[in-house]
Amino acid sequence: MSTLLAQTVTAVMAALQAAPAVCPQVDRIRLRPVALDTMQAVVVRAAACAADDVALFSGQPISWTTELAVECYARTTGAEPDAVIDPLIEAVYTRLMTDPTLGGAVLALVPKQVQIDFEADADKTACATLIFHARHRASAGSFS
Amino acid sequence: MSFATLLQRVNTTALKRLGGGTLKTLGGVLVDGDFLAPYTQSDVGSLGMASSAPVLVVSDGAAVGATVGTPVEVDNVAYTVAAPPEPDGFGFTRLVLELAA
Repeated sequence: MSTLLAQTVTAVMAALQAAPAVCPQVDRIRLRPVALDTMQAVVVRAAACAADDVALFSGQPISWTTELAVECYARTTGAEPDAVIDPLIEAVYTRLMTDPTLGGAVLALVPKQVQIDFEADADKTACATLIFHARHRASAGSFS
Repeated sequence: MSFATLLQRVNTTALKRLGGGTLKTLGGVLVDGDFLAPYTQSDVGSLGMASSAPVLVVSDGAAVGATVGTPVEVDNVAYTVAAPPEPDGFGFTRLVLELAA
């Protein structure tokens, strides 16, 4: 069985790719820059995972919080980049908050932060990084 | 011949003979210039987005009147001047471009 980290990313990917997908390209832990011919992309990755509390006695369940980053990329040659990134943010956020348990994969998915970057080269680009905290509870001795 | 005149002649010849790109217009006027559009990476998010950084280098004389928004066309690709012109002090002006909508 995969870890709760992998399970959470899988559940987020499934939610974002469910028809109709929020974006033509949804990548899991992409490691290369978004390609030149790609106008929009979403990248999902687990950023960190921490135990919320430590059981005093062995064998007790442990609560975990996984920090997830969902990066929304968009480029434009005409409109200002905030105009093209905004609908993508809305689509991703709405999709994930429609079922904050991600089909039962997590106890709750909690939105925490949105960071936005802009850049101009031959075209204008933007990336909004949505940070979510996924809450889990795992039995002792298991990370799944 | 003054140094300034010599420099202008050398610049003009260099742009005409060595400039990248074949057909360049600035504000609708045919110009000699050196066009480059090297790969660059837009620094957004943790990954970035592949892009290019197009610039057109023209003589100071050809750049007179160029401002942000001036249309530029290189080999049938439409750009606009994206930033204030950058004269180098040696007779050339560098124009930072972006793709036109």
